[in-house]
Amino acid sequence: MPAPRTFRRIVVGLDGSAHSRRAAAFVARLRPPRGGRVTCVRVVEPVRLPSMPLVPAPMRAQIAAQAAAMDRSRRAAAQRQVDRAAALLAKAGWRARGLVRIGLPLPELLAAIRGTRADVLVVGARGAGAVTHFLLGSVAEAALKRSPVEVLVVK
Amino acid sequence: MRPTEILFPTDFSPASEAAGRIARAMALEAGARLHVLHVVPPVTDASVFREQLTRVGQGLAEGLRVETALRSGLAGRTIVHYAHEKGVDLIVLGTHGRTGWSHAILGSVAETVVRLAPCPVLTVPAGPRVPAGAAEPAAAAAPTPARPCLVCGKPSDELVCEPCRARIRAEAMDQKREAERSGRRGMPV
Repeated sequence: MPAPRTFRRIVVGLDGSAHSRRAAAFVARLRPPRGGRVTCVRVVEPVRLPSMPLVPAPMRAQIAAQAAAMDRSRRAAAQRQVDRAAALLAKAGWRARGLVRIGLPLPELLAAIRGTRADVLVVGARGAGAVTHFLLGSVAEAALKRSPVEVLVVK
Repeated sequence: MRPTEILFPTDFSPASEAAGRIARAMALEAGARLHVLHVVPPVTDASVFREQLTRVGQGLAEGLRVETALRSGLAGRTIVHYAHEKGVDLIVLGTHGRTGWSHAILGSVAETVVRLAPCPVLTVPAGPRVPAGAAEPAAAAAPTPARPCLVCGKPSDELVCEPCRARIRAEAMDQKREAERSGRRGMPV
């Protein structure tokens, strides 16, 4: 299926779930229009530590170091994932790149849409949330309501 | 995968017009059949909408196979049911973008469809949007005719008029305050 002419710039939201992989695969099956570009975005939430006022300083430093290491490894994993998705899309003929953003999923996703001046957002129906939302993930649901552009929810 | 059946549910609003244009573009380029569906609430005389639906269908039909259908029932579920029945593989649907309290009252057909649909769903937001290539300023600039407010029925530029919205907001605030107060009463100090 060819992508409609209006969809030249696409943002695909990834979160490591099967549904988000399917979202990327769906875009890969579209025939890219001239100058069609895709940005694969994965948002990583930073590890947030409580203030721990009663914990001794050395231990606090150790915990902080562990959190930082966790952050780094998650960022690296996210980067690998978006790069893999971008490679898949590049093979399909899109100009694709991977993008990792740090912060809360939805605001960062919307910022990525604005930043790339995208005209459609593609997301999977369900994400990687610990509690499986009933048939639709919270980010997908919120994106439907807040997105300034078309949203394609892939099942 | 090549979609052969694309469903465009319409409520004849400007939001769904935008979705119609995109549905048509996708159907044209994929060579798919376009289903145009309008759902009337249960126990409503559907024949009133027949003509309007045919007109919308004809407006999109050029160079396309278009099938129009008129169903009655709860909009969200009926759309999903139709998609199952006809083996639809893409639904293109306009959204009004209601949030918060008005969303809770008026519900969201789009949300039901996205939740329950057997296929990918493309939602097209209402509101002015300038596409990269072809902008249609004439259509965007045209003033929307005053329609009755969904709550009080007085003519209004918006779906729910300002006084009604204010009242709804106030009720929501009251309810929230009420809920929080009862929550605190039971809490140990």
